[in-house]
Amino acid sequence: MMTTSLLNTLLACGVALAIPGLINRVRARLAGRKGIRFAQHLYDVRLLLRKGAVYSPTVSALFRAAPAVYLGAAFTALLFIPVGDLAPLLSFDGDLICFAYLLALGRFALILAALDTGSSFEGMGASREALYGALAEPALLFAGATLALVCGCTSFADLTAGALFVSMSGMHTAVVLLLTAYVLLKLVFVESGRVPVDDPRTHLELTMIHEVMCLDYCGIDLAMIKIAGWFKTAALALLAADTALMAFDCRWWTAAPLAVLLTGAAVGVVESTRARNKLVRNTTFLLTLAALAALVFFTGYLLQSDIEIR
Amino acid sequence: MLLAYFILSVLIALATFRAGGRRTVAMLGTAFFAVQFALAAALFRCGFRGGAEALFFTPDALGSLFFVLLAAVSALVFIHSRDYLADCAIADYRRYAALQMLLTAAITGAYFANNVAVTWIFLEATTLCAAGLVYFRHTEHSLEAAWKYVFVCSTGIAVAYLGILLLGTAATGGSLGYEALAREVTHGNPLYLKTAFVLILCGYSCKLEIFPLHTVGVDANFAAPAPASALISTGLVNAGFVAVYRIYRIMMQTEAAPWVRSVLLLTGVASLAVGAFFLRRTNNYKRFLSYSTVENMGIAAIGLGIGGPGVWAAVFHTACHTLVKSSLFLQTAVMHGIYDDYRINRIGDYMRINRIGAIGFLLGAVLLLAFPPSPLFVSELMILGGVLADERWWLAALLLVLLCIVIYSFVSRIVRLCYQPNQDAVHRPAASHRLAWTALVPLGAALVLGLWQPEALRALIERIVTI
Amino acid sequence: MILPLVILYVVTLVYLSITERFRTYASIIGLQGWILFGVALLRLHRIDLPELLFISVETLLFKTLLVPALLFAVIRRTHIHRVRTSGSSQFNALLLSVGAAAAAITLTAAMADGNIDRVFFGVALYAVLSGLILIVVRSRIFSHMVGFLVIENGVFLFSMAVGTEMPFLINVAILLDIMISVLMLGIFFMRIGNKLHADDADSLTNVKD
Repeated sequence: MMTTSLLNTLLACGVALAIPGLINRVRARLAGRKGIRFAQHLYDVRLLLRKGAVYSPTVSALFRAAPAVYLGAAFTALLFIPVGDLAPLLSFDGDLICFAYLLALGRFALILAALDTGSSFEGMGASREALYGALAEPALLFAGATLALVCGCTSFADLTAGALFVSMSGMHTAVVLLLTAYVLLKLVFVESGRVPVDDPRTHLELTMIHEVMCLDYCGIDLAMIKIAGWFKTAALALLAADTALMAFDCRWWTAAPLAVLLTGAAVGVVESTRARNKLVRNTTFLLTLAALAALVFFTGYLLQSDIEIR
Repeated sequence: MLLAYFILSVLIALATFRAGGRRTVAMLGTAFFAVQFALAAALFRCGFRGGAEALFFTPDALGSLFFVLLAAVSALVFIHSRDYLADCAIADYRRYAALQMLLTAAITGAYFANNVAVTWIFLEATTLCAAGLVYFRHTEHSLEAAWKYVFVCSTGIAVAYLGILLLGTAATGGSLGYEALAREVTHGNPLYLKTAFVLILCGYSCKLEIFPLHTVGVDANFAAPAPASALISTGLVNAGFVAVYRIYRIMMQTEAAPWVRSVLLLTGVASLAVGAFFLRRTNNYKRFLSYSTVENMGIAAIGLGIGGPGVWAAVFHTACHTLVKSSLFLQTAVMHGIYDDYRINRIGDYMRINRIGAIGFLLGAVLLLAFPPSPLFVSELMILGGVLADERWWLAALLLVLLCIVIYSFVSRIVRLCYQPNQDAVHRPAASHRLAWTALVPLGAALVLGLWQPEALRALIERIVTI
Repeated sequence: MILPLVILYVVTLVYLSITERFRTYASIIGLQGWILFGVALLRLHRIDLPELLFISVETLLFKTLLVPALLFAVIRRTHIHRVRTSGSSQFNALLLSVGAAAAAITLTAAMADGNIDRVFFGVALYAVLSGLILIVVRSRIFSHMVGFLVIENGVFLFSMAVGTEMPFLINVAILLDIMISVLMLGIFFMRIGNKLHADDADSLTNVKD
């Protein structure tokens, strides 16, 4: 038991560390470049860890504590996710909801810290982040609800271990699961602040969302925030990969590579080919995602109640 | 017989599209109305008992009563239009006459249909004919009014069709005839019946000119030539009433009856409120009279909602409203011929300019407001009596307050028309006096009905009302 | 096989509320025509062949080919392209649409009866509400036209749910379709483009008190 959980955690961390590298590599290849080192983001964090930090006199302890809270919440959320059929380190009944709340807790800490600085610039970013977080939560919860409906349980651990499928025809289950995986993949874009929701490379005032909140951090705080971002991305990516594979056969040696490949390729391609949404269209984008998730949930519900249309 | 009637009417109407001159149009018009009156006479001879059924049509008491009224009003409108449109090009005039005939035939079809779907089809057809009449003058305003009319009526009819589909599912047989439906829906799911009724009422409210889709009727009457408005706001409104009444009769025998009555009461009060509110706000005489139609149809809906004697009152109210409203609209046509304008705050001094027209207007207003020699007084009294007998005090108080507002607005406007000094120069054609006299004819009939309701009429309405 | 088509129909309805270009409206109406054609073929295999043939041909001809072609022609002729003249988002329309979906689902659940298919009833109700939202929320005439077409498609879908016993009803729904959508599009095409400026959002407010 313990060894499988440790293996699960190690795999999850490995996925977290691999995804940013793959994204950068895919983006570079699509642009015709060779690209930076695969592990460049790790070297960047190592550089940050060696730096000191300067704190403004207006901030309080909240500002200094927030990155730690964020990292802790993200890591704990990652501990709930199973990779393939391995058991996660933490699991209990209803940890679907706990997962969503942990992500929200991290976001909450960052927002408070951003407001703590007293800078209107960061306040603007905090308000945007709060809005998008609020709009993305229904999507996450509906996706979780669909998973719970399909598998008949409310814990991530039971999703993949043992095939507790309620009686449906196999094809319909597969379609519902694939659609849920698609919704979760879109959520990766939202939570990690990627194109089309936000552009992580831009530093212009009117266009930043996530970056604005972290503007005043440096050194170890910024390193913690970056690492927490990787963990969040990895958690949702693993969830998406597990859901997609549940339609066929879920093993850890297929789930982990699929998570990396799927996220890396998808994010890389979308960042290279699309532009960021106009800010006013982001709300529509997110609500569409929520509507799509609700639709998938109701489809699953209909299929489960065996409603036949002749 | 009915089939022959329809074929003849449509043929004559189509021939009018290609008529050569005004005399030809007049001859074709005479032929058309001869056909109408022949049918009316045949129905009268059968005693309105529904002989001579065709495939989808049954000339029963309800349809026949309204058909006779329609024929009379339509003939008057035709005569008035001849003078009203005397300076029109012949192409326009023959199109107008043909559309009027087609509208009359379509409304007759809606009256006599004995199948829900056929009624629906004919009401759809009336939309098209009426829209052609509304767009008669090719101005921007009339285009906008015609577009709104076609659009909102089609949307309403589509919603009503959804209601009909629901009604069809609640009835387990395969037929949609009114008698068959009345037999089968007694076992139907009451929730379906309730929803179906609400949908049908909302859908047909564009024809019946009650809340919620009353605005298209008002706009259409605003843009159409005044004699055509007389036909639209009496004949077409009656078609809506007949359609809703037939569904009402079906519903009265099911479990959904109390709900249906409440919905009708609500709609009636809302229409009355809308009419009362807008009568004070509008500045155009034709819109003014259309809002009065909305208000009167609201009273009829309240009558249906009360049940019992209220249903008799509603049918009587609608029939007499036809006479009074058509007369008022024809007087408006005369007025337009004199002033060339409809704005309430600009025109006046009618009493001196056209004494008989002004008296006709005043008398029509008195009858419309249900002052005692008026037949509408009889019906409104019965409705109010029904409301009080049911002990609905709030409803009675609301009714009386709204009716007072209506009376005030109406009288102040009409008195202003007759006595306030005129703001613009006036051109006086000679024909207007003769037309003002002919417009008094339906008013006279209404006056007679108010003082003395013949036994035959009472028995007829009794037969319509009893299930 | 029908269920995926119906789900796709619901997705098109949701997409209608967020799209920003009129060409997308026309494409969606065409797609809905194809979906209804498929549903008609699959659902009505129990009624006799001539009726089925008539209904399928009508759906194919009018809903799938003629109406979208007319819509595209109107767009080309009147040079209107964007649904709203300003650049603001369609968030409120989408919210209303999701609310309408919730309302349709609630109503269907409340009116559960074995008689008619619940899925068809719910989706048809959602389609009618969606069309009404389009008519009420949008201010341009073309959007009203599209809203009416959406309502008609919804009513047609519902008539197929009940029409296996009474094919006459479906024929009548088709009649409504042919007459009114072609007529209204025809009027729109010929008259409105010239007289009323179809790209002016407030052009229909002259007739009032």
